[in-house]
Amino acid sequence: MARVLEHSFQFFRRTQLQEMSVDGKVRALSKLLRDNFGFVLQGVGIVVPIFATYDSGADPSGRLYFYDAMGAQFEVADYAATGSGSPAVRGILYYENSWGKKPLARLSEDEAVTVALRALDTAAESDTATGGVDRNAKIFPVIKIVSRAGITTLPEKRIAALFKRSVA
Amino acid sequence: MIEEPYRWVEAIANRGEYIESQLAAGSPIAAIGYRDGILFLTLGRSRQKLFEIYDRIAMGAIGHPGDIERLRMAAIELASAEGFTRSAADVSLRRLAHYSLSPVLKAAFEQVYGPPYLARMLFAEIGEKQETDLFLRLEYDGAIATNSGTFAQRRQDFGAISGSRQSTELMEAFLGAEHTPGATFERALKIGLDAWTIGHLALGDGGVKELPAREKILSERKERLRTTGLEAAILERDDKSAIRYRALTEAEIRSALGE
Repeated sequence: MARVLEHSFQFFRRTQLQEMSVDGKVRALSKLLRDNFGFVLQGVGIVVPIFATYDSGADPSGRLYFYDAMGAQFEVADYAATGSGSPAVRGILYYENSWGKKPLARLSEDEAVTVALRALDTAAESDTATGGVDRNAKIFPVIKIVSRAGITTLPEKRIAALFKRSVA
Repeated sequence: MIEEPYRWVEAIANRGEYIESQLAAGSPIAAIGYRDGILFLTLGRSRQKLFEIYDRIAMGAIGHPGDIERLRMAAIELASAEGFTRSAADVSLRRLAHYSLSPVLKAAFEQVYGPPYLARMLFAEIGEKQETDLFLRLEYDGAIATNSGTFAQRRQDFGAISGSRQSTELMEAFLGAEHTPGATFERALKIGLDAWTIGHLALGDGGVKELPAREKILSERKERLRTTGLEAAILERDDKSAIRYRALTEAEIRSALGE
């Protein structure tokens, strides 16, 4: 799904000589989900993604959307979680956002990664389908940062250091 | 009438002449390979002439805007389909030009009852190393010229197109003599501007037939830069991002020129 979207966004940008708007991208993902709903009903596969993007339009800021399996999209301000372990993660993020040291939107990158690692670890504790961190084999989650400069994948070393310092 | 072989040859010749006359006013485009990438450059005031085709492929074109747009779309569609079904590494300019675009252009040109494409295109594909950069010129009749070396011809790290054959040849002669593969970006930009100026001076019936003197090039270049907009784009060898194409801003160009 990510591959289809990436190609269609690039194709749009190259042919139309401008970036697809955020609304356009959000709808494109929604349409993919709707088209996939037949498979969901057959039990073949269910996909419930989060869509995060940096909108460099009139009001430049990060934007976050979550979806349901039928393709309805909901924009959220502070956080989104999906997957089998998401109830636990959502609980932590809600708590952090409301009564934590500071709201999620004001966290630094390191702090945000720490919260994400702790949340994933908590979810993995009670949900076998959540990967979490494999402490023996030193396998860490994939973390990507979406910012004005583009999308970067956090190097594993940095995740390992943060994990060692504030989670393990 | 046109079924007779002789008539057909005549019709094709007329058609070639007509297309050449239509393309004659086209502002030259130069593509220069330098140490860290490939620079595309042209001057003009009307419309965009440099385009991104795929991750590692760029195009510059002169001709009728409608035809250029159709060919550009075809190229992007073909490259994207290939990149999606296989992978971005399998998209090759060689295949795109030889297998897909050239036959289409040839067919349109030789079918005397249909309209031909009024376009001349310059493609470049950035390679892993400078030795694998590919420059490719595609003509309205499907003819292809590349920069690759043979035993009779040295490999070239540049490509050029212009309104007339004479102008293109002068640009190539100049670039062949002046350009060295390991050039810096600033050097490539200056060489490219000079090549454009020479190509421009050679256009039209009153155009120069031989390489003009150094001072003439410089004064003409200065004059043109003052009155005309510059369009430039680069393909970067740096593999931090999959997409290597980037259009340059005017500020970047001016600072590289030391203005």
